[in-house]
Amino acid sequence: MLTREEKARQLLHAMTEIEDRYIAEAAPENTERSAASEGAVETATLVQMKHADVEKTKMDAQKEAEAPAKADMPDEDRHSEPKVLYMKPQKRWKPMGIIAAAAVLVIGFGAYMKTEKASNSMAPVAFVTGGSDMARAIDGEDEKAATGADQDATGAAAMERSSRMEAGVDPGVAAAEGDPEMAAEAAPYADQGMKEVDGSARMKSAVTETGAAPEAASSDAQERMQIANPWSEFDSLEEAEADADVEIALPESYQRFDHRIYRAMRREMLEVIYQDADGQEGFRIRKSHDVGDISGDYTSYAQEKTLTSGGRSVTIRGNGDTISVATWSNHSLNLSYAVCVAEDQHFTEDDIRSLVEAIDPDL
Amino acid sequence: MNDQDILDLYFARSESAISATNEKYGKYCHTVAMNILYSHEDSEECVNDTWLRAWGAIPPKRPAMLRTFLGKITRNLALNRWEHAHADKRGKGETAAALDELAECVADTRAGQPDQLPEQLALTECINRFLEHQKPENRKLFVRRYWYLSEIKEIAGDYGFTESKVKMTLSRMRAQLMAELEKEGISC
Repeated sequence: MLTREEKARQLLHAMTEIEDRYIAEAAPENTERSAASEGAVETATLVQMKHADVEKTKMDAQKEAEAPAKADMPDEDRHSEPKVLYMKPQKRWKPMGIIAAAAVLVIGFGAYMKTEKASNSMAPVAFVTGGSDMARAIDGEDEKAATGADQDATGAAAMERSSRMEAGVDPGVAAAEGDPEMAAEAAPYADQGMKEVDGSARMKSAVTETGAAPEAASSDAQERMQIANPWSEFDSLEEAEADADVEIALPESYQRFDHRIYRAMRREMLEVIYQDADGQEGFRIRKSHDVGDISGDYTSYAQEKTLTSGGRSVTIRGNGDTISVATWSNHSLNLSYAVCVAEDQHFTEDDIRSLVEAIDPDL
Repeated sequence: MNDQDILDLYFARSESAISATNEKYGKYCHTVAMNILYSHEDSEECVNDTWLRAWGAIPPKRPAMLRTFLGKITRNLALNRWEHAHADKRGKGETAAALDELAECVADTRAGQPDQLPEQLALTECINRFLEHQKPENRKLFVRRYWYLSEIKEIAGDYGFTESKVKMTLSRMRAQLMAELEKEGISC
């Protein structure tokens, strides 16, 4: 008795002999070219052929004379000449591989340095939020700050001075501000001026000069960092619902959009994207436990109005008679919904109304 | 050089038939083997074996479509090699994944149904009929996955679909294939 896997293997083997036209139409692109031109893939045959050419030049006329006779040989004899085809490929130097490896190393080192730089520039921010004296201690510009907790008040001023100097504050300006100490300290930095653009200096300047210490610094830091995609795709609605911790009623299809993609932001939001058979997006539906506008669409539309549908107040936005976004909330259940229509789709008020009723039938 | 010229070289028993074939279809056959074996060395050997088989088969055969003729040889050789290498353990790569997926089409033996699949020829014919009734787009996805054993990600990239759509389409097609096999009394 065959096991399930053995049957699957039989099926896989049976697939081999399917009609040529099906295989041809699905063939991957860019595969019908010379393997030799890739450099990385040098087949034994080509190597052998090169050898054969070289040998041919060394051969005497007798060998040449024998060649035509091959055509008259019986099949078995001809096939019993594997030497023509079997030669181990020579190990060849592969410069492309070396270049690729070098490129990876350089890019990797660059990325590492960038990350290192970003983390260096972020470190003081972290300490500033915990205590300005620590930031100064890290800078090494005010050693007393590391030990003097009683200097909190003056510490911030010292840090401001140092950061402004690093950012290229003119000593003249410092003097004009009535701070001779700062002017004296700033003098060595004057010629550097704005050329000093180290990330840490700018960040600290932002921290101290704007007064919006943690927020400004963290937003600056965020700009330097990649934000991970919070969405995960799932094969089934149940999986997405479980991940988002939100359940939703959905229309099986709407108009020609019958293909659904399920996405979830862990424990935050559920999103279902409706596409047509060609993969063209029609609209997406969102649901979340947060109350508010969860559409994520911040476009300024010409029209915004409230639609009353089955006890709900649905805010719809769009241009002309095309509705682009619809949002509504169920405050008693702490739920929000959004329907976001794809840019190239034309959804009317009635379309939106029927969608809303299909999605949120409870109210 | 077109396929007819290459075939003429085979029929003339000219050694340059092999280099011409390699020049034109080496990369294609390597891709087919590589998708199954995940090893450049093994794939190269497989491709070389393909040339040997082709050399032995042409003449007397004169394939109408040289590319798929060579691709089929490579696929068979690569699958055999893969099975030999993974006789008692599952390997990495798309072959194992494709086998898992195809296992859905051949459910465990049920009462009153045969415990053997029929001859490969009947199976192939059934698959051909199944493919014939599919939309070209879906058919391409199916063949790319289960003939070329390409990765879902690669297929999605090539056809401009999301991975989710490719997975869903394939899942539906597997269910349809299972129904087709059952209808013809083939599925176990």
